[in-house]
Amino acid sequence: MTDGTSGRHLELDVLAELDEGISGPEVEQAARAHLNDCAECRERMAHLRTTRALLSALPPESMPSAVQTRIAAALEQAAAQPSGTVVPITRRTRPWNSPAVAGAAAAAAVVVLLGALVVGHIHRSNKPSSSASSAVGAPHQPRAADAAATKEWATNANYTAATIPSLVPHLVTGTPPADAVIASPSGASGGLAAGGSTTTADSRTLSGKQAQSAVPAPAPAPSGAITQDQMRSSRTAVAACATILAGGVPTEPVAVDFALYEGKPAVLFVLPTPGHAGLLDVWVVRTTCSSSSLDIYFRRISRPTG
Amino acid sequence: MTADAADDRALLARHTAGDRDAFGELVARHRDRLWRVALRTLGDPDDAADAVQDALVSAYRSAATYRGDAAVTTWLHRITVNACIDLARRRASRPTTSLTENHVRDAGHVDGSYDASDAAAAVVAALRQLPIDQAAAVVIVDVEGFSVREAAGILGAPEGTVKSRCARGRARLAELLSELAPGNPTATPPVQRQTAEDKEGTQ
Repeated sequence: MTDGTSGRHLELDVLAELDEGISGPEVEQAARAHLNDCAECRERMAHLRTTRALLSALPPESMPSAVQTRIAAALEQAAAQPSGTVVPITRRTRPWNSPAVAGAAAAAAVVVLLGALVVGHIHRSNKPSSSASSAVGAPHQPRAADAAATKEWATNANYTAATIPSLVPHLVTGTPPADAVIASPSGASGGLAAGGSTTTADSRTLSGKQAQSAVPAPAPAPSGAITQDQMRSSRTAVAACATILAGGVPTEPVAVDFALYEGKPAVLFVLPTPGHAGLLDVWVVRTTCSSSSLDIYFRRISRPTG
Repeated sequence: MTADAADDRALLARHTAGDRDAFGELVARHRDRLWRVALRTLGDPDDAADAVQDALVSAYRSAATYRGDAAVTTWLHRITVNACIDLARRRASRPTTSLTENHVRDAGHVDGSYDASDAAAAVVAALRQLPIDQAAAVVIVDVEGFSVREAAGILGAPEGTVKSRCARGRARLAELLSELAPGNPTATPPVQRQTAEDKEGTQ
């Protein structure tokens, strides 16, 4: 601590230490003597005490409900996963985790894949494929596929654990974020900058490929890993991964984004949270998608309104 | 021990015994205070949410290590403050001086006066400019009203260190807030103040 008493007036540090009772005896004596004679320093001391009063008068704050929801979800997640956020999917409390139903789930996934193969694509938000109509009514088409259309993006946004809660809602609502952190580098026609448009260059390429080939590129065995490349080129692979992520339950993603996570290519899935209409499960597939992958990030967020 | 403190301990014991609802009840009892500590210390709602979430998940997992030598509320505050400090250091980007000074200045009226809500906004903005250790000490002692002894437990620092951090934090806040009152004798030219702060910040 500086002496602070040698100048014309006492420094605020000296006054604050005096007020807190932690000045050394010599400094305290000199400072008190100075205060007796100096109205300006007494006023500075009063200002210091006013500052303390202002601090103690700060209004109470209640935790916003969105934060409460988020924390409740994180705690639920912690209950299911004793360690970290990067975990094998199999540790999640899902039907998939039960050996008894794992086989059935795997079979369900095969049905999904077969159904998708026949249909040729998963229903999309605003660009029905011409090849789809011939296959509508395929016997094993997953029910969930009819529930809602998937919004597909290729934003190339660079997500992190910290930005997912704020950026992902934009994928769901289709509104561009205020700070424009997500932007499609490939032009105005793709990505969130286009508002409601969910058609991307990737998805168009995808349709073409599937139309030409009766057999999808990925090897879609539920136990096998699905690569990002397969997902980028085949919607069937996307559907298979979504099913794996949902614990074997055929699930139409709310949104999918081909993007980056911490600078590396990743596929982000937004799935409905089973049993919680107000929540969404965000999965980031960073390498491959499989039921035993250790490199999948999970986070539960509140479903945005509007 | 107060009834509340006993209830807290009972809830924590139920949680470690496997009661799935107990921790949620504990969170419900403390979340607003923990939120306020994080919000005032970090100054940013998103950061505060991250810190409180990290803290509560950490508390959830480490509940078995709670030894009962401090009140549960002290334990929760300590974990929360640690999460705030960790996050601030990871960010390593407390708002710049100019930005925050503008915020402080903007919180008052043109003529230098300010009413209660202006004052609160100015104090909150000024808090963001403190080094994280000082911000945490000032928030725990002056905003939350913990005793220096309790604060020492929460901050994991000797009482003398807590007092010193509080004193320096208050002095800095007083300096920042004096910007709002042009005639205030504590106002000093920015260049001098910045030099003095740089020196202080390296201690």
